[in-house]
Amino acid sequence: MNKTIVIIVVSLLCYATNYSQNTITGIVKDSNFENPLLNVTISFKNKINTSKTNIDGVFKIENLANGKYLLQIKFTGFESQNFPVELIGNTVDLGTILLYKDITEVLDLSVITITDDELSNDTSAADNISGLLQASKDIFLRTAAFEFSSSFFRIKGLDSGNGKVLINGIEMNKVYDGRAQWSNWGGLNDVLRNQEFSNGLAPSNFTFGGILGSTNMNTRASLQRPGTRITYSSSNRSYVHRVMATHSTGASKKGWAFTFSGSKRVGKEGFNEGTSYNAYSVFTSVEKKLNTKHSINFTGIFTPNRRGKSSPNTQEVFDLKGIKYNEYWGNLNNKKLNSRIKEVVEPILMLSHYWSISKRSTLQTNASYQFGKIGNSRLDFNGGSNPSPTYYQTLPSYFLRNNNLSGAYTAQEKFVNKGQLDWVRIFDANNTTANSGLNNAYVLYEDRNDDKQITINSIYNSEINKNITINAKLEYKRLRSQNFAEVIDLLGGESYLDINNFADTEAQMQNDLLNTNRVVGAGDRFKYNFNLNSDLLNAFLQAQFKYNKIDFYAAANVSQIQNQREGLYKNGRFENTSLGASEVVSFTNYGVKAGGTYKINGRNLIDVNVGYLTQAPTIRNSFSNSRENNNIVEDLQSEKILSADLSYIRRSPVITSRVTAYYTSIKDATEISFYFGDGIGGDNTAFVQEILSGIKKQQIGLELGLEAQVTATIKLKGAASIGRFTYANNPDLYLTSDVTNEGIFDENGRSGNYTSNLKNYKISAGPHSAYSVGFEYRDPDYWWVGATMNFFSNTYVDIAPLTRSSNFYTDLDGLTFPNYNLEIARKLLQQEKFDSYKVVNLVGGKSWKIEGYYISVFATVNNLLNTAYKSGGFEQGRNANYNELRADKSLEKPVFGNKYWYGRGTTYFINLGVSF
Amino acid sequence: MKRNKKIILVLILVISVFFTACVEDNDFTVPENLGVEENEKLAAILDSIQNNQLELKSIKDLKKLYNSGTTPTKIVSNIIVKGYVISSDAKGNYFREFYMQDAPENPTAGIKITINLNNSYNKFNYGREVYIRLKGLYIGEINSGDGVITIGGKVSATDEKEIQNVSSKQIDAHFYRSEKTEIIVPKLVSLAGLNASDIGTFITVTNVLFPANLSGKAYVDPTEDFDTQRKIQTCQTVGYADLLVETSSFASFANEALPVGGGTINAVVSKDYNGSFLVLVLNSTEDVVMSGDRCTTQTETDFKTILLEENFDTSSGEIKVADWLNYRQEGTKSWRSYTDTYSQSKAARIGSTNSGDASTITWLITKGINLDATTEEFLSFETSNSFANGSNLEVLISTDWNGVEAGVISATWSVLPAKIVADGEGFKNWIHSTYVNLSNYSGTAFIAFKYTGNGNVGLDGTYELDNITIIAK
Repeated sequence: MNKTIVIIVVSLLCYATNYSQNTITGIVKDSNFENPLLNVTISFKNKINTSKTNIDGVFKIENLANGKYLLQIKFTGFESQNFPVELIGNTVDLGTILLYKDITEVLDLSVITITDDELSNDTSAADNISGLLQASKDIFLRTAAFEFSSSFFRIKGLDSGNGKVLINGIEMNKVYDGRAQWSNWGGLNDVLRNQEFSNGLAPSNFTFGGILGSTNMNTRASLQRPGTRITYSSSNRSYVHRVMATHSTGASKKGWAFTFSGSKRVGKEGFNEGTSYNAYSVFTSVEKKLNTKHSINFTGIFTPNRRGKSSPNTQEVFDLKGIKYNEYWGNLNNKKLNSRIKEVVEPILMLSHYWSISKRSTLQTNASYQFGKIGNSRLDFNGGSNPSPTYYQTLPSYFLRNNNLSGAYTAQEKFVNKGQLDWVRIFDANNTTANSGLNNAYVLYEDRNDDKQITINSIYNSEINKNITINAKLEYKRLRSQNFAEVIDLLGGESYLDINNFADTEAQMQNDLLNTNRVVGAGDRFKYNFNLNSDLLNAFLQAQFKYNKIDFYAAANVSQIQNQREGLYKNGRFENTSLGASEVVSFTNYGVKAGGTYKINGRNLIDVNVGYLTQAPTIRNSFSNSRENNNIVEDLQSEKILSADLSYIRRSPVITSRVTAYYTSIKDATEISFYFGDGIGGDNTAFVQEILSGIKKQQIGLELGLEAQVTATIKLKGAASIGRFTYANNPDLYLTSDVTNEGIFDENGRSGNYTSNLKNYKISAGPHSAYSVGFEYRDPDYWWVGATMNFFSNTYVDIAPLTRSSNFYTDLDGLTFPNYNLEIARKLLQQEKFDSYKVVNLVGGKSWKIEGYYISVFATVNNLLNTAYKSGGFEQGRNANYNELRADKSLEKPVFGNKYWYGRGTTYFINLGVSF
Repeated sequence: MKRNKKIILVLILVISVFFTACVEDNDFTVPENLGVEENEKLAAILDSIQNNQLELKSIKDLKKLYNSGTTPTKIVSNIIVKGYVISSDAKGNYFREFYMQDAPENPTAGIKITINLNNSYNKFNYGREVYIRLKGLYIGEINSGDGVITIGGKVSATDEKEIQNVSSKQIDAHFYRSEKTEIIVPKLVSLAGLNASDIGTFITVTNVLFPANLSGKAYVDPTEDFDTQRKIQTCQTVGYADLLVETSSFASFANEALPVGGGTINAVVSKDYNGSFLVLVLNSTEDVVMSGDRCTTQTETDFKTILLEENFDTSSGEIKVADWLNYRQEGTKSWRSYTDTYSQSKAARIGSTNSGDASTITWLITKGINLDATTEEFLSFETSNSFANGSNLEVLISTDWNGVEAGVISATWSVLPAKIVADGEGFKNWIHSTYVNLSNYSGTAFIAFKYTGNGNVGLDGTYELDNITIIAK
């Protein structure tokens, strides 16, 4: 198939002195720059043994029986090469093998497209896994990443925090919530290609990992593919334009290697209205090889980005305004301006030292410093009415509830015709108050997390012998995080009063009693201000064994974490518990896992993994109301996770397939949510924190992936995920609030204890079932097309735990509501299941090689049939009891109906790349 | 290498173009045309008024288009009303309503506007000149018969005698703010002299205090779900005149302690929810400056001389007290004696209900009182009513009446600032007039109680009068 002439340069072909063993060695290099290539896969057709090249591009395969072999050398982005070798008790040194760039590498690009686009989709609270999986070659995981991810699909129904993302061996998941902040390296796709992905519990050389697996991205300059690459892309998904340029020098004779990359992504709006996109990225990696044993590499990553968020909406809103509707923007000075922008500016500086202690042992030591800010902007309005165009009192349903038909009509007319944030009114209000000498009605501010994080680690890898490899790691992480609200803009006014209007007394209204009735302006902190300090120690040890018939591993991990909150404001609602340091929340955790692959023969394998680990609760789930006080979740526990999977893998020349059965159980999980509840203890209303603890979840299911190369040009693909993700017990629940001695709240603002009857409710984790079928046609003329059809079903709304507790049917006097009807209650509490849907995706591309320039073009169309589907949603906590919920649900248009995210309609992505 | 240089050049060019092509997502410049559109619309309206295409009506005249307790009046003609906002919901003491009066200073009338708008203070700010184009809106009452004439947006679906608020969409189409925000000079009034015509105006009362039994209490009683009324008093020379300060439990100052000193209060005059009595409503407690001394007053026992005392206990039929005049200026109804069921006391009563008379004006005039023998004289009496809406009782004084029926009309009569039972007051209640100072009058004075029915006999009410005294020293 390869038309390019395979040039084999065998510069040296000599017979080694040791005749007792059959050995094949060689060095693999890039044809253009002749620098060694790491991690090139060396395998044999019809034989199990595989090997990979080391940092110097060298590979060595020993202990081979006499005979004829067909050696395959494969490396992503390069054309594969085959060498027929005959062994007769000798060592065959293939010398330097030059690999040539594969100009059909566009497939690799499709990876980049989706990941780049979807990764930082945290603007819509999506929890995306595609980034984690992008390096995988497994057909199922690739399908999950590229075809399923836009549907909020989650591998094994697990939160993305269970997958660890590492850069140069340093874990990048945020200490605060355990999730990776993809924006921190967005737009740097070209330089983050060196990735190693370990699926699930499978061993990684760098980390114990989570139960979803881990990805390590290596930014080492000498490993970057030398050359220059310029890409332009256009899309209507999130950004409209993207330019990227990357240049890598490869290693010079003096041992220097440089890589630079820069990119810019911009767009006034993506698929959803008003979702602006402003991001640029700068990357630099410099490596100096000090001598044969030592190398030092510096990596700098700076990716400031700003993205406009989009809102979840009720069905009423979608019906009136369509699935692109976003309530967060409004017109100001003839521009669509989004009030909720997420800005991430968190530069990363990393210094890595690579030490080849011996031929078989390496020690990598890294130090990383990350600093900067994450800001989420929004409007505050303690002197104005709620500016949200979808505020419930402005929608037709509110008027219909009161049988006010004419009101509903005018509300609908107004919402359909205007229905966006009214910036002009906001400025007018502030202007009016300023002219009256009063403080602002509205202010634009951002919730800030300014983290400073230092990580130091050492990773030791040693091949004890040809069968046994040992990995070990020690890591220390120190996080100092400042959390506060800061005024961005006074929006035409002159000052803003920092008080909480919902409190009863003057003292309680104060956000900081040390500075009462403070008036703030742009750049001032207000509302809340506290530090979170976290110190983490981690040790990891792993042994991997590789034998002819069986590979297996065992790993253990121990960690110790200390978290503390330090309040800087004396909050008027929590006079005694807000200021100063909290208790230290300290946890020691461990994890063990083991697994193995039994090779029935070269084509059939069985793989099994079992792991048990405990996981400290994240900071987010440790402090019940961290913005206001030092309270720690009562009886806080580590999560206990048990995970096991069993796979059968078949690899034949035509069919590659894998089927996996898995089981995961998570015990003692804690979740905190915040909402405004109506019907908290009888008919009271309150803004509450809901602490759900001792949650047990169970994820069980099957994964299937299948690839069939039916002809040289046509490949058929199929993947399926059939899961059942449920709550497995009835966890404990309590509420806290700043309401004291009222309703269900005692003098500390704590409610009584409830049990939330969640058992057998489904976890909202995207579609529990997803299927994909598709094909790929690759023309020998360097163009290719593909299409997939994807089916999704069993997607469930995220339920509100409080309504599944006794609060649902209990009046304030502790008795059941007199009109409580079990039949109706059962109906009301039924979990909404979204409709099944199918999505068709197309992809195609072509590449050329013109005088040393590699040019590639490709395009994808997602959701070709413009299917409208709900990708996620949640019950509003507002209707907390039977009477409230029944009254609302009996309406034709509920006022506080479930809120949804819809998937995107038809979107395109076009990419043009030149490299040389 | 040459190729590389060329490429890098192109690269730099491409990148620099894109790096400068920034999407502005944080340009919060004050919109240049802020208010321009509104000003243009208002200018057009003012032009139309000039050209007589629109009629500018005073608040006073506007209120005449509606009678309390009747069905709301829909405005169908091209009329405009102008006013100055005198209330502010910045502190949460008003809910979806505001008041405006006809002038920044010395207002003659005010009106309430009910709107579907929270925090209206940041749009219709205190002192703002506002024009309301009324065609399509309603004049009426939120609570039928409460006596607070209000501009609303529609008739209530559940009670055709009541109006509901102006919707946010109607606000855009009917309300125009001028650029002017005037300084409101509160009108100086006495608590005793306050009456229904003051509703919707911004007033100031001096020398006020909260009664001693409210010491330590807050504006709002924590057990109240909605509004709390607190008595406020001014010292008369004898006794106190009092009124109620009404505060919403949603006001941010609801839990603030009432001041214990004496001083000044500025407030909007309105009525309680049922329209039973007048109340003062605060914009903010900054309008309460009561840190001075509490005023002091004399008691009745300080006045030994009694110049007049009449409790009608010996009367029956038409009131006939010696040297008094019971005079029907118009109509057939006289002041008559009756026995109050609840107090079991006899009193005088007048009412034109079902009289069939086109008009009723009836006087009850006391005998002449010599004011020259004493230095200070105070009048007091009690009034009660039943369905008094639409009728009126005044207390007058004359020192030049010749004492004969024919001279009543031609004599000079001045209104005395006595407190007379308000429309809507519970029919069982007797209201004390406060002690009305007559010291500035000399010679022989006559006190007259003048009842005026409005001719709409179905609506005319009844007034009751008792315990008239003039004390002196």
